Amino acid sequence: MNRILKKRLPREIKKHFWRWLALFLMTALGMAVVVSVVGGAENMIRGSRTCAEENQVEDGEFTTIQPLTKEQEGHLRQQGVILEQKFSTDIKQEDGSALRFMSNRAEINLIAVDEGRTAEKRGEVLLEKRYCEEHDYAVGDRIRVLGREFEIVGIGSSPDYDLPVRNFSDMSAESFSFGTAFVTAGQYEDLSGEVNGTMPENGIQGGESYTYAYILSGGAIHDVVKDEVKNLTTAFTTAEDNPRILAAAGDMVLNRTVGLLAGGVVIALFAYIISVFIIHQINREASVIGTLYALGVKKRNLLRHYITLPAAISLLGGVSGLVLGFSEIGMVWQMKEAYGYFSVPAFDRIYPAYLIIYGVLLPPVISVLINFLVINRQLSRTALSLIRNERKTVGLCKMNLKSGSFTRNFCIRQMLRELRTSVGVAVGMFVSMMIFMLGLNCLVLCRNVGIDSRNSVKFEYMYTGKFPEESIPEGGEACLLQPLSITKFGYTLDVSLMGITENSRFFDARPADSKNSIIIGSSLATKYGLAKGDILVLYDKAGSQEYKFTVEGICDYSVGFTAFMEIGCMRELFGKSDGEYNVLLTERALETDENCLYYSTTTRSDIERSSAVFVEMMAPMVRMLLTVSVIVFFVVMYLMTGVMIDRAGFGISLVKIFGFRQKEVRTLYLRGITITVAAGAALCIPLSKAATDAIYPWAVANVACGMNLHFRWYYYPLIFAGVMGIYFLSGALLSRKINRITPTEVLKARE
Amino acid sequence: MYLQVTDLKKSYGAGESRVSVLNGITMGVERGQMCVIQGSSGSGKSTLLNCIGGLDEIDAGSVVVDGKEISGLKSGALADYRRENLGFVFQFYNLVPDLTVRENIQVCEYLTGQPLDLNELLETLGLFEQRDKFPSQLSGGQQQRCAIARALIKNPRLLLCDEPTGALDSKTSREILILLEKINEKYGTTMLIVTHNNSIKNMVHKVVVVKDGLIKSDYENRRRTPAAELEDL
Repeated sequence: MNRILKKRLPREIKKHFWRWLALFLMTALGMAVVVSVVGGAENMIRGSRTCAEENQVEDGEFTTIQPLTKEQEGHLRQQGVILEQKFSTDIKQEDGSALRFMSNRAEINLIAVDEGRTAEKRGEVLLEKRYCEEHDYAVGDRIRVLGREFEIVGIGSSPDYDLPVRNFSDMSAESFSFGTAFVTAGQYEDLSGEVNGTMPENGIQGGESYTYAYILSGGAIHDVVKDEVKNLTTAFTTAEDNPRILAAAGDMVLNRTVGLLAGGVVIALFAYIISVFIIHQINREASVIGTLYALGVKKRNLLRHYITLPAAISLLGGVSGLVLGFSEIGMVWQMKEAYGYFSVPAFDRIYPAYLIIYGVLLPPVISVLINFLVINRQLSRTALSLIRNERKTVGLCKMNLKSGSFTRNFCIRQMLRELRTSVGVAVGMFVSMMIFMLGLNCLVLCRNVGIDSRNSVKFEYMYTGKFPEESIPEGGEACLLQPLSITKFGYTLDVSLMGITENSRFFDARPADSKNSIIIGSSLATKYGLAKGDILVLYDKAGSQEYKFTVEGICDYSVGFTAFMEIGCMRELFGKSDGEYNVLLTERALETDENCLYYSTTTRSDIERSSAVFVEMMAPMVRMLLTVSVIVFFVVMYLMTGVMIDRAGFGISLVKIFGFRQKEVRTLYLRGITITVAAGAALCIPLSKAATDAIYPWAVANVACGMNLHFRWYYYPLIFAGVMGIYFLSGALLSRKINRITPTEVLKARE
Repeated sequence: MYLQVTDLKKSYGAGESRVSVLNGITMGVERGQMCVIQGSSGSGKSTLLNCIGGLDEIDAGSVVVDGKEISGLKSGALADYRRENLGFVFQFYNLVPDLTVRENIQVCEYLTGQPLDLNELLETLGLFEQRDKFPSQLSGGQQQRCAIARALIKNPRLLLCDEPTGALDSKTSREILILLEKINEKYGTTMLIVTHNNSIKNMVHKVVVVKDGLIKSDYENRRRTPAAELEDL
């Protein structure tokens, strides 16, 4: 029998071609987006892990105050540690950007050369690829460094700078302003010597950083290294805690998880929409089904028949989406976005087996499950009930409407009759609104990060000390910075604990005279929902020490994650001497002879630029989310409201026979839908905003930024107007559908 | 007796809204007989047919078809009973709209291991020329013939027809009745025809008149009139 019934399928597709095409395209589009996001993420994850392994990425690194002696190095090596210097010197370029010069690597963090080769003699340099892209540099071009010309002989990347940020605490990478450069060891010595000897102009990152990379071997553990260098270091970071290493992989893990989950939700939504059509078809064919039952046909045969088309459309949509997702405009485009931010080599493309299974099996399986659950009940009616096409009037539909005009009561009845479809519309609206809000929140968050950062920074220059200092240059404000970290939502992020004076000119915080309490910046507070009186646990990675603080207040400061403590108490807590500081804040640039004390300078404009990168970086994702949500919403709206009109075909035809005019008919049948959509939008907009706000800290758990997701009040009416605008667009198409229903439909329906 | 109904009772609703439709029907039909169940609207004739066809549950009494008691059977067993024994024809044809005549009939062909020959059936019912047309391309009579062919393809021993000419004009009604008569002769199919039409009783072997859920009269028709000669259809 199913062989015969299968012949109906192409005819059904032909009959409702646009409907099935829309559902097919929606499924394909949904799957394409998921596969491109997840596939791109998987490629980046596996690619960067493989690349890191091949290029012998470090297990950790530490920065010392002075270079280690040969004996100290030897002692570490005896412990089973492979050690390599990666000293660096930041040099400002003519365009204001900074290049971090390092010498070629031999054992650890090997350079992956994309084009050309590594530097082999003086006057040659290999530049980091993202920096080259931002500056349009190619192999063979020349750059000027400290007045001398260097030829770019290679372009590549190193696994210890996947995320090419200057400081660990930087919120985002800004490759126009910062990049790495690799020269020969001799050349590097010349450059660092020159920079250390003659101080360059203000604002340049002067001073050499003595950082060592290590790989553990022969059973050595991090603690061995830590113990060996604990009195010599200014920073100790394991690869796991290093935001530059495997940054692309870390960032993409979230994309993968969210993509797979969101894909399931979207596919389930489409499956539900399809099931509404199938229910509509079953209701239309109830007497035929009843007759077939009467003739001895079993339910399972018809169940299989009615599930076949949704499953086939879902399967085709899934497979098409999979192919599209793996193509140049899917996964490859997504990867380009990642390649445009992270500094990683172009990986060999992979097509994960689980994603193929996901794309091929998930849509039909979800479709079969949902349609089975929904259709099974419909087909479980008795043969007689089906033949008579009995409709049970239950619950709200029995509502007694004694007062009110005929039109009002009719609209209410129509809404109640279509409750199931209305639920579908509401669910569809909520899902698309969630996608929309995810995009909008992303945009709002990025903009707010920029605005809040700009507004909260009152200093012009932040100098980070090369050595602990006690004398304060004139006009400067001394602070003590202690890098700590916080682990939440599965990610460890840096928190700068800043010791400040009680009358700081640059921060609003006025911390109490206590070693146990801190004032936290607003970004930290909004990110983790912290309030006054909460306990905050911060971790000192270098000292393997945990600190518990009571939050005594929140101040307006949104650059990264920062907490404030009274500087005297902080010195006491961390065993520093009286008057010691390591960060100097000023309103003007220091004189050159003062500058030599500092190896890193962050200016107010650096912070502003870094915030702007956030917006730029997220723009494609925002555009994609907003576009997808509008498409999903329009299609769901048109299809679901269309099915309501289809179902009301007999009634519409009848009221036309009675003499109702087209406009009156539209009022009777569309007003209820309009009210449903308006009420749904009024509910879904704040609800989806609240839901996305709740999940956002988790969704961007790997980014050290505040969670200011607040947008202005008028966004709400604007979104509502947008929703209604899209609805009215689909409503115009529905009006045409209503106009096309003729009075003779009654006779056809009777027959 | 091929079909034996004994003291059959059926009611709908509960409490004050309870309506007794069948109040103790007893009747029988021999194998190969055509039997008309006649009665006015609301008399219970369709309910009686539905109970015999296993479409409706029986409150009390017994229905034995070909020696098998069907009252008390579960829905699965009832489906098997219908599958093995019955063909149904309704007033409205209930054809699958997007299957052709041939395909509509083929839907039920698989229900038995020994179906009738499809082409022969199409010829017998005068549908051969229309075999590749869709229901919407057929007249009401042709659609009803298609519905009959669908019911007959599995060669049922009992054909239950609920107002088979109810939606047809008199000329088409006659054609359908001639067809039923022909099928009865050719295949020996036992038929129960529910109708409120007073003329049809003249062409069948047996007439059962139902009124208020009870048998008003039940008699053998010794002087059958061929369907072609029936008046006032």
